[in-house]
Amino acid sequence: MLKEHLEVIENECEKINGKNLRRSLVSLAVEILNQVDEGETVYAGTIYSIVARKKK
Amino acid sequence: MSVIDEIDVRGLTCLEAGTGAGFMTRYLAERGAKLVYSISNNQEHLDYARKRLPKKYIEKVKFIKADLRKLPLLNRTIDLTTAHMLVNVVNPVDLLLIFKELTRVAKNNALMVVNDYNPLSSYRDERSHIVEELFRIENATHYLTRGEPALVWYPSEYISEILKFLGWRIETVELMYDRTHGRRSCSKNISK
Repeated sequence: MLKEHLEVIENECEKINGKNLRRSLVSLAVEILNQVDEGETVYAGTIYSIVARKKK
Repeated sequence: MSVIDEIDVRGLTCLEAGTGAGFMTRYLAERGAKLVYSISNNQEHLDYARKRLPKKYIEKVKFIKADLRKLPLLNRTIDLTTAHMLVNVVNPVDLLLIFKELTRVAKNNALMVVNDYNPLSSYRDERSHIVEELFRIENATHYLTRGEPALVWYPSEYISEILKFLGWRIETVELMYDRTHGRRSCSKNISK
């Protein structure tokens, strides 16, 4: 799933005019992603589930 | 989808706010909902969800392209609304407008289920910084190109307060996987 975020970053960076900034953001993202081993799961944050009922 | 599992959706008119990949739409149809409105402003999402919906459910689902801030539905027509991973892609102003609209179309005594991400700081270990850094870059690129972040993490308390303000009673707030694993750490499972 992190790879999907890299794709989003790459796609967004295509819209950035500054070539150096574009390259540097993408290479930073790749560098971060390379810290994750193949098949490794990284945990961050929690998922909540709210059940609400509309008052009469 | 553990919380939704406990709700008997048979015969209910449902609304999936934000179709996404259509997981919840399909799930509601499979579990016997009378009708599911699956609404999104993203035509690609609607097409994808429609394509992967088994044909036998197609008559029970209405895929509609619309702005969630202005739903093409009558007042008090929905029994169950789901907002599955919607909130994290909505800015604070639109968030209030969307929940106001979801309130308008909900019947009295209707249910709403909101599933989403708590802020990353709600659980972290020694490797969590990797995800945080990557998301920071993603948000930075969106700021540069669109003027707003790609992802926003609202605490569940904030969403609960909005719902209470709009006339909803909070029945439960749970962290997913709690009951399955008996611990808080199994969320936002993000693997490479």
